[in-house]
Amino acid sequence: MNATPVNSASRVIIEEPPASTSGALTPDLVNILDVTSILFAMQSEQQHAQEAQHEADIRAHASEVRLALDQVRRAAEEARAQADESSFWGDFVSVAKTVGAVASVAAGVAGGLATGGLTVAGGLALAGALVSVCATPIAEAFGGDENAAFWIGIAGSAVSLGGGAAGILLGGTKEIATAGLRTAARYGEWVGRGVDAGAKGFEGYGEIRTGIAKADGTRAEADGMEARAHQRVSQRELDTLIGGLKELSQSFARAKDALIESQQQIGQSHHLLIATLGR
Amino acid sequence: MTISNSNPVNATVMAEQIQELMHELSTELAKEEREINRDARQHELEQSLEAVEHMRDKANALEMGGYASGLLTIASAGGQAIATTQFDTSGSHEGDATNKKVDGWNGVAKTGGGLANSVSQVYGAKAENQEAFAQGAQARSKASGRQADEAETNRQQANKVDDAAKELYKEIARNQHAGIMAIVARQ
Repeated sequence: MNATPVNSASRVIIEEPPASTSGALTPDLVNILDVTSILFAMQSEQQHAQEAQHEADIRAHASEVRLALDQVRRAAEEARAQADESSFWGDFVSVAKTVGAVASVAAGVAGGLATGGLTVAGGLALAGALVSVCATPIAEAFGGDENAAFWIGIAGSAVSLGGGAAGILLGGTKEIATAGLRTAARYGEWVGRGVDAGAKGFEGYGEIRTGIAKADGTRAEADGMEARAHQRVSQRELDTLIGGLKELSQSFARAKDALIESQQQIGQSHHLLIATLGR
Repeated sequence: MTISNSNPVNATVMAEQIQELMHELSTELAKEEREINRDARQHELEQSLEAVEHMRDKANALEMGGYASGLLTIASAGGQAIATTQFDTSGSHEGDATNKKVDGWNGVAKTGGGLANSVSQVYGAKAENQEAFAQGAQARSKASGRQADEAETNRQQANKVDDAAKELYKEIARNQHAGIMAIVARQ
């Protein structure tokens, strides 16, 4: 805009219309007599343009924040799913370990019986005690509840007690195993060792799956952290923009007040000068 | 700020100069605080992203630990299974001798399996280490965030001082104008 004063200090001719980005305010400046009025018009136009720009930025940032929050939510869901999977495979490993341990001890007991190093009564007492101690994992492995675990424990204790009593009654060192029983014990040992090896294989597979699930869960957590970091930045920028828009509005309001006040003061001065000259 | 006044008076001019000085000072201060704020926000984001990287390293360590431990356990299971196939159930003296060898190999396989636990612990420690690094980076990120907030508060304070100076100047100009008008009216 190029304003050139002609004849009067307050009269101006506008050579070019003001560049309006919005087109919402196009005052006819030829008819405006006051510089303050021109400033007022310019200021209003500027305010409109800047506020429109700010509002567009705010909308863009709000959209970014929404996207980031969506990513955070998805990452949290993924982390939760992976935690569930990790928990499942952790239980799987636990059960495999228990089965392997039970099979290993059972194979040891059977081996003792087979070589004659352990009486049947001693073997029963040992096996019963083992079953009693491992009642809960055994019940879990077969899908039983606490009630089942309780009864497995009771049965194991009963076998252990019976074996112990038999050992006392028959004499702890007395060999009672027959040749047939020894053969059966050897096969039992063989089966026990096989089950132990198989359980270890499953345990290894479970460990791999647990590791993968934990890693995927941690990666999802990392993705969530990254999305939160970006969301925080966008949110702060959004807050700053909203604050800036408020400051801008206040600043323009103050400028308008100042211009209006100046106009009033100029008007008062003119009135007074006219009145004084009239005398 | 340019408020036109047809009656320039020394006091008003002085007030305007003081206001202008205060405006410049507060603008300078606000600019500095804005730069501090920007740098702190940048640092905050960088540290957050560093924490994310450490978390990803932790995930890799957990995955490697799972694979290493699992594969060692499976290898141990394979060794035990092979040893079991050699187990002699005949009960003969030769069979007992074979079974002693089998026991030896079984023991070796089980010891190998025991290594899986140690390997798992090593990778677990590495993962914990990475998590500690991530927490450190997050703490630094939060500290930078607080610094940025403080700078933003300072900037707003500087703006308030500037606004107050402007209001004061307007009040002086208003009073000055009213006074001059009164004098002119009396004359």
